[in-house]
Amino acid sequence: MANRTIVPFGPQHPVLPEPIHLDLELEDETVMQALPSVGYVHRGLELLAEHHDYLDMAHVAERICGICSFIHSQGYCQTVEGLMGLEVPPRAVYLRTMWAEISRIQSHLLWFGLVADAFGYESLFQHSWRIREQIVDIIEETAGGRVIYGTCKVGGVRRDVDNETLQRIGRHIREIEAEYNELADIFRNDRTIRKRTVGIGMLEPENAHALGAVGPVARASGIAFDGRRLGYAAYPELDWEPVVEQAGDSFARCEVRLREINQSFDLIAQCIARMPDGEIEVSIKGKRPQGEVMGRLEQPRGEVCYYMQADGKKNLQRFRVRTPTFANIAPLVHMLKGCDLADVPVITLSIDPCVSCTER
Amino acid sequence: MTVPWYSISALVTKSALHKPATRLYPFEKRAPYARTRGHIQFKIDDCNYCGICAHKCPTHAIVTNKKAKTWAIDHTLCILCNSCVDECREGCITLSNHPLAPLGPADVARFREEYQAPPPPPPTEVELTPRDPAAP
Amino acid sequence: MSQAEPFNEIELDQWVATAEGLRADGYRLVQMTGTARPDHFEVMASFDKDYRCANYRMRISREHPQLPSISGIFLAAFTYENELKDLFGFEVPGLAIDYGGNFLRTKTKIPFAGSVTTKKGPTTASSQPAANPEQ
Repeated sequence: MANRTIVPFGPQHPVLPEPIHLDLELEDETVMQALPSVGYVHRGLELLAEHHDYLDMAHVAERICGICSFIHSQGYCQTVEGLMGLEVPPRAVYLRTMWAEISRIQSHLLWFGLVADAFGYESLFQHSWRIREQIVDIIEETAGGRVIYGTCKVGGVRRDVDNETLQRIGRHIREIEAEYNELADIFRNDRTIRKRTVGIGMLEPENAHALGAVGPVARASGIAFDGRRLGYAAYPELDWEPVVEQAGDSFARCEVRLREINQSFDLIAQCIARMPDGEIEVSIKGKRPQGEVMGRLEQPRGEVCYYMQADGKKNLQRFRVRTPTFANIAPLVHMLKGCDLADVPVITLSIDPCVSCTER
Repeated sequence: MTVPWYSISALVTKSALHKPATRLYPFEKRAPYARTRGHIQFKIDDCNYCGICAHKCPTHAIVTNKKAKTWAIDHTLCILCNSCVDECREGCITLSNHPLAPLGPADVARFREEYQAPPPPPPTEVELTPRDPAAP
Repeated sequence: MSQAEPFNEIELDQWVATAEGLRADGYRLVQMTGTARPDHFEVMASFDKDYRCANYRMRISREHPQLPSISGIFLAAFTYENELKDLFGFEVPGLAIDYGGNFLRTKTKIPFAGSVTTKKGPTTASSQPAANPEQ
């Protein structure tokens, strides 16, 4: 006789980076249904846009999330520049792209450590974070802060990086990539990890499309949508292809992110090689944001949408961020049906939840 | 495809023979990078109390008073955005790359005493009356 | 960078028909946003196909806020419609997976359904006087 129980997963759980609550309806040890409940990290950041100057909001936008911080500030600045009709100088565009790719690497390495920790593989967790430390040191060397870069502003970037530092970073990146490749090989070929991820948390392509999956979750099910193809920043001029896998299980999602780290290393090398000279900012005197726009970017976790509405005053009228983890909650709830209780942490981490983005 | 036990044991042996990646903080401290945003330093000699730094500060961490010739910064509110450093025309404000030591409660209270917070903005008129769910 | 994609205003009764047409064309639901304007609620939805976004905007009256659900067409909509339900108190007939108001944890239920008066003026941070006005 099947035993029905409800087990709360979260908001505090060792594998979760941020609090999210899932009520799991279990029959024996199989999950019948997962009921999500969010709202633990809501800080009302969208309303602040109506009270703060649109220039100061760039600081607030960066602090929506600690992991995806740079791309939030880049997205905010880009979208506001679109509303103002500003053209950012090419060097600033390339610097932003370089920092965005570095941010993507550190976010994926953070995820890599967390998913290894979810299996109980704590030593791999520490190894991957040790590599991530080197990336974060590069961020501190170029931007000044480890987590909050503070470099993007409306009209360009605040700090320049001189060419000598860029060349040195380019060489250092190659060494870090070699160390990272060893770890990635261990992850891919380890029999225990394969046993816990291959075939677990299947998301078929039709379901991925119907449920609105974004980011690596969608790309692991064969949907080749990468927000960087939208043509913002320096991506149209760089040489890259979206990373797509076909299997649709947790292992495919992990594989997409592992390959994206290599792709980001390559993109950084291309940015440094093609970095144009020139100024890093453009004057914003006498211009105010006007109109409404929906700007989209690619965060490490997927496609993020910035909806802004402005009417020429100093504050934005409406600022709305739809983050990728919010869009991935629907596929998560679908994937959890029918899985074992022990697989719940692995599947939840395979979508890479970033709840402070979701509940901004 | 590499044989897993070989690469794992190679990694483990290499890590075991390598010196630790951590350092003995607080006895050994890492030297900060040149650009690290540590804390804001201020020299009062050239200040003419124009108030631009306080105007540009996004968190109102700086408070100046032209008549009384005072300048105060609340380091706990400062987000190290460097707007004040960029805007000060006399060059009084600089960024130091050493982060401040954690402030004890006595220090925070002292900063808050010397520092006069700006008056809170009058609230915008947004009345949020919860809607009665029983109403159609 | 910003793509000049249009924002189409549609009426509430065209909503389901529009969504079905978009699904047949192969669009994917990107997001749904609700805003509380002073005299009505506004729901703005975006759909994407081949990296082009189509945005649709609808006004919903405050007295009977009803939004026909499109979760039968785009299953992804259930999270957004639950959020709209929890924040604005919409009735969403036909919602595929209904969390009954428990999707978002808030201290006050239906927090955004009250009246909204927007007032711009000397309450913004940037126009705060830097020095003490009184001596």
